[in-house]
Amino acid sequence: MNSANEHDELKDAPMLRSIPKVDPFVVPDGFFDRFPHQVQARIAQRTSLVERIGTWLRSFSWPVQLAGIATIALLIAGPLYFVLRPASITEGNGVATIDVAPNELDPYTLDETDLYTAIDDAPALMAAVGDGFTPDEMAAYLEHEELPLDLLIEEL
Amino acid sequence: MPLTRIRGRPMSELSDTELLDLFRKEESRHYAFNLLVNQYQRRLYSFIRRMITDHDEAQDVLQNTFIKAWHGLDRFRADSKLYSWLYRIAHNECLNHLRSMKRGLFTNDEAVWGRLSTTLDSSEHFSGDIIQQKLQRALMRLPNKQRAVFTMKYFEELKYEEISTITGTSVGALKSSYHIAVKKIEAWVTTDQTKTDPSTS
Repeated sequence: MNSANEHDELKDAPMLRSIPKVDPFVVPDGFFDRFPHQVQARIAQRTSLVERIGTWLRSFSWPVQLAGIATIALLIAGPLYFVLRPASITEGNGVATIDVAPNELDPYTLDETDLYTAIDDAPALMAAVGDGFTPDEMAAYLEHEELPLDLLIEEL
Repeated sequence: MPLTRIRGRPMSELSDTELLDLFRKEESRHYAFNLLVNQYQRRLYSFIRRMITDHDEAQDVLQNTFIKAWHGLDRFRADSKLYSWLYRIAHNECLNHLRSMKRGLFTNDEAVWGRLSTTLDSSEHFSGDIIQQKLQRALMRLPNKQRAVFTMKYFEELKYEEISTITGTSVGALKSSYHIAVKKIEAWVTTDQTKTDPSTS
């Protein structure tokens, strides 16, 4: 990395600049010697399981194979549907609403990187705001004011 | 196969293309992958550990990263660098892991933050001095994606273009994100607010 650029980007962060870049995390002795073997062992384990299932399936005629695959797919898809469906959906008068308690709202659902991407990708928004703002300035403004992007778009 | 040199050079200096050529041959597939793991494990571990902090969890995420690489390496096209591709997998695995922490036992940001912080209180896991601890705590207060951007830029010293390839975010957005992250961390490290949880800031 260009050190002049780095210096420029950290010019307003003298404290951060003064901190040495070291790796402070302790790694158990011999970890990196053992790790490649652990990965190979896991690969071998998975490969062997897949091969065994394949061999076992091939020992049946094709209608039985098909029925077996369909059953397995149902066994996986069924519980998945119940786990992944929305927590609570109330349907009434043709309108579906999802109940979410206020404390369940995640403040980082739209985190800043998403925000900057949205601004970058929203020329209409930038045009509405005016020529005077760059995406960086706009992002800094939103960050400073803590304005949600959807409210701002609504206002514009 | 006790290969130590190829075309007169040590195996550790193989180019991506040479490594991939070895991987695509059935007889040297596992050997090539072993070289790849040896070549990239430290860099990827360092990135993952800064994101996750706990060694055991970082090890799981690193293993999953390489398992996915093993299954996807046949489809890898050399239009991007191998390490960018591996970083991309590691980055996604980290974000998935952090999301699953929140979905599981640790149901909100404060709980996740508390869990990540405990590692820093143990000298068995963390050898940094006070200022390193403050920096790491500040880092953990950043939103996950911003923490990844800061880690790749500041510690790993990757270029914005490389981070853009890894994260799928535009260079402009990354610059803004990094700029804001630097400002936040500077403020937190300077004022020592890093011992309180993120909800209080």
